[in-house]
Amino acid sequence: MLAGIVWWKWVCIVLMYYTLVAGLTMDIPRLDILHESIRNLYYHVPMWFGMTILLGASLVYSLRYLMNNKLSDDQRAASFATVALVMGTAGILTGMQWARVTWGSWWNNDPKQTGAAIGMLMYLAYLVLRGAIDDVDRRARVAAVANVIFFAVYIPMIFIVPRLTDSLHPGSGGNPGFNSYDLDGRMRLVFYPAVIGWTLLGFWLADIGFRRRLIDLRIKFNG
Amino acid sequence: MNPPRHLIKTLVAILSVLLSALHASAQDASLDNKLNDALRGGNKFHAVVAVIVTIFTVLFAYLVYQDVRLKRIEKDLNSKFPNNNEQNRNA
Repeated sequence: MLAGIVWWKWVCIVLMYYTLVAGLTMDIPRLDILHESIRNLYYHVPMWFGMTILLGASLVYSLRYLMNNKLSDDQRAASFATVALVMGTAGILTGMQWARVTWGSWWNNDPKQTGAAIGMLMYLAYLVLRGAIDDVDRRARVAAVANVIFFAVYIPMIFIVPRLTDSLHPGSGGNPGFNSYDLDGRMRLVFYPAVIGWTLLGFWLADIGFRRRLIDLRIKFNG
Repeated sequence: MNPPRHLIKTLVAILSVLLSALHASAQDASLDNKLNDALRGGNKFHAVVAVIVTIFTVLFAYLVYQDVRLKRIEKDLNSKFPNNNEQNRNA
């Protein structure tokens, strides 16, 4: 029964278990303010990495749809965007929890926080837009164009704008990024597998979503 | 595709090695840290880890189940509609 599961999904399971157990139990650098909350680095940050990669994949498939007009490309783009939205929401929630501990409140109007929230709303609008159009071809075309625009707005909003203004996030507003101060060798041992694990989990969820959508389409057009 | 049993064995072995290495490196943790003591006191912390691992085990079991189920449906559809193509959408 399990023979049908592709190898990278097993890798995902192993890396996720490793991330969960090692991330919560292994030793960490003792830093002021951060204390134990630094473990969130294994969950919050990889979720955002995963989300960004998934949004990139969604963009690629939207562009492919615009070039080839293949509905399966549109379905893939939608699946990637949906899972990216879920991971982004989880990223915001884990980030809020981290902000409460280290910055003193759940929401600090940090440029990156605000940009992320606006971005999530944009991708929510993308899904609403998809749901509002019945004709599959028209929906695919409009959604693909919207996806390209949203990606072009979203990425600068969370990666470039925070660097140009004051920001509490590491790597922004003159703060140091992840370096020897806050990401030592012990943490890298979990952080990098965590990034791969969370990203693969996102791809797995998107794969299942895509296949379900494709089955629906096949039944609709062939049945 | 690799035989899953071999693959699972290999992956479990890698996981065991990684976790045991981490366990060894954690032995020198500064246990005098009060916060650390408070968090690790009793078995509450292990219960937290166990609950999280259980939640993810259920998630992975569900994903594997969905994967296998979808594969079966896809196989069915392939045998029913061998000439599946998207051009039918305009029909």
